[in-house]
Amino acid sequence: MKALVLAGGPGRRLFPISEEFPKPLVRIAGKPLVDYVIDSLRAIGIHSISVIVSNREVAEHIISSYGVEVDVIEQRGDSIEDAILSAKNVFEHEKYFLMAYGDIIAPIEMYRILLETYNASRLPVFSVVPLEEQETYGVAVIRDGKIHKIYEKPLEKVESVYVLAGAYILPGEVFELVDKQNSLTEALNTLVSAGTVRASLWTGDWVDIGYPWDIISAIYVIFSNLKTSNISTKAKISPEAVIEGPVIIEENAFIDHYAVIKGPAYIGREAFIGKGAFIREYSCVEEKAIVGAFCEIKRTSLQPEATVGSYTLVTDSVLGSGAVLEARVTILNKLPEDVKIARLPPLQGILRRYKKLGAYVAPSSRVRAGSVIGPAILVDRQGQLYDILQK
Amino acid sequence: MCGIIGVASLRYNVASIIKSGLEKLEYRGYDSVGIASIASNTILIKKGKGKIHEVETRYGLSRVPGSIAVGHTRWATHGAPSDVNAHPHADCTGRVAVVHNGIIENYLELKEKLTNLGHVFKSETDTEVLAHLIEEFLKELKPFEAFRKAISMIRGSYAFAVLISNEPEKIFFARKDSPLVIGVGEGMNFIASDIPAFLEHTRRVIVVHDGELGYITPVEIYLENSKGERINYLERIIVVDWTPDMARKEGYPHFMIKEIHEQPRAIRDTIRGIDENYEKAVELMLDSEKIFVTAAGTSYHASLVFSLIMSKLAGKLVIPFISSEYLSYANSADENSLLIAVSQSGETIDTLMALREFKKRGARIIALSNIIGSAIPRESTLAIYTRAGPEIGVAATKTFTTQVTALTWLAINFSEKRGAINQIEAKSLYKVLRDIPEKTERIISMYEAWARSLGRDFANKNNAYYLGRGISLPIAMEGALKMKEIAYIHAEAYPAGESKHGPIALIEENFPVIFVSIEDRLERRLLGNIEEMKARGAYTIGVVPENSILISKLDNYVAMPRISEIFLPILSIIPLQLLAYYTAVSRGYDPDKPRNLAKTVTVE
Repeated sequence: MKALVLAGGPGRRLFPISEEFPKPLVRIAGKPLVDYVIDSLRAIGIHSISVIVSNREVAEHIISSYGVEVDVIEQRGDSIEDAILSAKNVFEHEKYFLMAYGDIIAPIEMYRILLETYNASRLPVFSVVPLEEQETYGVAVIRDGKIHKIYEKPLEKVESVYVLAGAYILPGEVFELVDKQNSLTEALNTLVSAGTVRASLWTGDWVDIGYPWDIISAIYVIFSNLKTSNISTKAKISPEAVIEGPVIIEENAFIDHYAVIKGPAYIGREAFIGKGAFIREYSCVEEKAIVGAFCEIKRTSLQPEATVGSYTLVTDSVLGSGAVLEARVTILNKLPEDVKIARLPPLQGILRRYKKLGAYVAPSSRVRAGSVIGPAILVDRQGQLYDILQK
Repeated sequence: MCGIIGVASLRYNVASIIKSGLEKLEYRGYDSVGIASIASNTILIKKGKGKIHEVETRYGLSRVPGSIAVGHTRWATHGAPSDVNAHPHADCTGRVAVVHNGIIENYLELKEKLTNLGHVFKSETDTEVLAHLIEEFLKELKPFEAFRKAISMIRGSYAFAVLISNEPEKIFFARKDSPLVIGVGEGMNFIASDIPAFLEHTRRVIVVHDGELGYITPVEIYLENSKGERINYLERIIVVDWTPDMARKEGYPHFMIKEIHEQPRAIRDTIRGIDENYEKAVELMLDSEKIFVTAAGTSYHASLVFSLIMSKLAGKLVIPFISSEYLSYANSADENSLLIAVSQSGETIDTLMALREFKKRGARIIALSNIIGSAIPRESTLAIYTRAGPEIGVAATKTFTTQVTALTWLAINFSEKRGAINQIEAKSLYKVLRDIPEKTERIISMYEAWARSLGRDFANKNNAYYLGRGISLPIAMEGALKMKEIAYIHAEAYPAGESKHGPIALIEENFPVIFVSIEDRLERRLLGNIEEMKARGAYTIGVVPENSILISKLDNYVAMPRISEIFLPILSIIPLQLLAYYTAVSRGYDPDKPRNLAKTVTVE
C-alpha cells in the first residue's frame, strides 16, 4: 500500500515557533517532526511514501534524509484541500492508500493497528483516539465500530469523545470527492455516509502538534518509553557534572562543571550546558543550543541554536530555532486555575497540580536581559509580546 | 463463534497444517474440534469434544491422510459440545462434509423437510442441514450447482467450507455475515475464518465478501458474487504484513478494550438468548425455600448484585457466598435449597466443589455459565447461559455485564411470578432491559476519553478506595478488582458507611476515592461520606446518576442515565472498566496478560 503524508501548509497555530520557519522541521528529541510519521510508516512495512510539502527546506531535508525512498510532492495552495489535490495525479488510481498527517506524535502501533483494521475489513478506516477536549480537533461519532459522522472543530458539544487521529485508509475516489466538494470534511463524510468506514481505536499516547505547547506534550510521549540512558562516548561531560534518570546525550555535546541533568531529558549534538546549569525533567536541548551558566531549564524545548543566557529561568516554554534569551531572564509559568486554554500540557506540581505555560519565542527573536515575562506569552520575531490569555 | 479452515494442496497429508491452523483459531472457540479429508475419493472424518490437544491425543487428527481437508474448532450454539455435535458434519451417504461458522436461522424448517424426504440426522446442530441439502441436490446437479442451490436455501449467518467426494480436489465455500478469507499459496490454497490460520504458509489474502461463494483447488480459485458473476480474484489479492497474534484483535490494541467495546453486542445476544431454561430456572427458584448464590472473583460480584436486586425487588433473601468458602455454608443446605452457581468458564474449581457439596445434601443447582456444556453446567440440575462469546482478556468485562443481565432478568421474572411486582411493572422493566445494549454503547462512547485522561493521573497512584452503598457496593468491589488485576494499584472497596471505621485513617492529600452511587434513597447518606473524605484531602470521583445532588461535592464524576436502578449496575461498571484499562496502558502494562493470573482457575 502507498502512503501519503501531509506536511505542507503554513502551520499558523504554531505561531510564533513557525514564524518564517517550516513546522515539519521543528525538532523533538533530535528528530524533525515530519520524520516521526515517515519512520513509523516505514517501520510497518510501507515503502512507497509520498510527502506533500510547501517549503523548499522541508523538501531538501526529506531528499537528503531518505533519498529515493520517499517522494516529495509540492503543495499548491494553502488549504488542506489544496494539499490533498496536489497528490491527485499520483494517488487517484490507487484502490486504497494510507493518508497520514505529518504533525502527529504517536507510537508506531497506532499505524500498525490502522493497517490491520483495513486488512481485516478491506474498507476505509479512520484512526480515532478518545480525548476529552475536542474543540480544536476533528471529531468522529462512532456507532457499532463504524464511523457515523465526522465534524471539523465542532463549536457545539458533539456526543462523542473520539477525535480523528490523523491517520486514514482512504479509497482513491476521495480525490474526486475533495475536488467536487472542495472540503475534506465533506468528502470524508460522503465516504462515511455509505456506512462502511471503520474506526480503528488507538488507546495509547497521541499528540497533534498544533499549538506551541503541544511540543511539550510531545516530549512527554517520546520520553514515556525512555527507560535507559544513552550517552554518546563522544560527548564531553565534566566529571563534576551530575546526571540522574534516563537521558539521551548526543555526540560532541558539552556539559560543564557542576551542571545537573535530571532526566528524562535530551541534550543534542554540540549542545552546550554551562557551568552549574540545572536541566530538569522533560527538557530537550536540541543541536547546538546553548544553556548559559547557572540557568534552570524545565519542561522546555530549546530548538537548534537557541541560546539561554546565564542565570536565566525557563520553564514550560519553547524557544524557536536561533532564539535568544539574554542573561537573567525569568519566565513565569503558573496560570490562574480557572483559565481555559486549549490543549494544556499535563498538569504540573508536587503537592498541588497546577496549569502552567511559559513563553513561546519565535526563531531568531531576542528577549532583553533581565526581563521577567509570562505566564503564557508569545514572542514574535520582532520581540513583540502577545499574551495568550488575552487572545 | 467458531473457526473453520480448509487446505487444498498438491502435496500429501495436509492434516498437520489444518491442526496448526486450528490452533491459531482456537480463540474463536475450543469446546470441540474436527477434521474431514478426502483420500482416494472417500471422505474421512475425525472429530471429538475437547480442546485440540485432547482430541489430537484421542483420535490423531494430524494423522488423517489426504491432500484436501477442512477443519473446525467449535464454540457451541446449537447442541452441547459432544463428539456427535462436533464438526465436520456429513450427509447420509458420507459423500459430503461440512464445517460451518454462524447460525442457520431456518434450520428447523429445513430439517423437517429433509427428514420427511428420508434424511437421517445424527447431530443436534443447525449445520448438518447443509450436508443433507447438498446430498439432496446432488441427485440431479453437479457438485458446485448443488452447493450453490443449497446455499440459496440457507437463512442466517455463515462461513462454510465443504468437501464433496465426487470432485475430490475442490473445497467449496460461501460467506454471509461470518468472516472468511482465502489464502493464495504456491500449489496450495487456503480458506479460513481468519488470516492467522494460514499466515505461516502465505501472506497473500483475499477477503471473501458477503454473498460470495466459490471453490478452491490446489492450483485454482473460483469466486463468484451473489448474482452468479465470476469475480477476477487476482484484483482482490492483498499482501498482509502482521503477526498472527495481532490479527485476532480486529484492530483494537488489546483484547480487553475490544471486549469492553463488545459489551453492547454481548448483552444484546444474552437477552436474545433467554430461553425456556431461564423460565425453568425461575420455576426452580419459586419452588425453593432457601436460595444460595455462589461464585468466585468477578462472577461473585455479579452474584452479589443478584442477591441485592432479589431483596429489593422480590423481598426474597438470596444468600451469596464466595465459592471457596463453601464448607461454611453447605451445612445449611437441604432438599429445599437451591444453589445458583455462576462461573464464566463453567470450570472454576471452587464453584464446582461448592456445587458438589450442595448436591450431596440434596440441593438443586442452577448453573449460569458462558461455556455450553462445561463442567458446572453439566453437573447442574439446570443450566442457563450468557452469550458473551469467548473472552480472551484475563480481566472479565463482557462476561460480568452479561452475567448481571441474565441474573437481573431472573430477578424480574421471579418477582413477577411471585407477585412482588405486577405485570405492568414487569413489562416496563423488560422494556428497559431491552434498551440496555444501546445505553451501554452510549456510556462507552461518552466516557472512554474521561477514563483515558483520568487513567493518566491514576497511573501515579499507589492506592485507591472504592466506596458504595446498596447495589452500588458490588460495583465498587468489581471496579476495585479491575484496578488491582491489570493496573496493579492497591484498590480496596468498602461499604461507604464502613469507611470511617478504619480505612479513613489512610486518607492523605490527593488520595483517590471513587464513590459509586446508583440508588436514590441512599444518596443523602453518601453526602457525609464524601464530605469527610474531602476534608482529609481526598480526590473524590463519582459514578452517579444525572443531576445527582452529589455532583457539586465531587472533584470528578461520570453521570448515569436516570433509569430504573436495578439496571444501573450494568452501566456503572463500564467507566470503571475503562479506567482500569487506561490506567494499565498508561503505566505501560499489558492488560491482557496480568502477572500471576490465569483466565480460568481450575486449582483450589
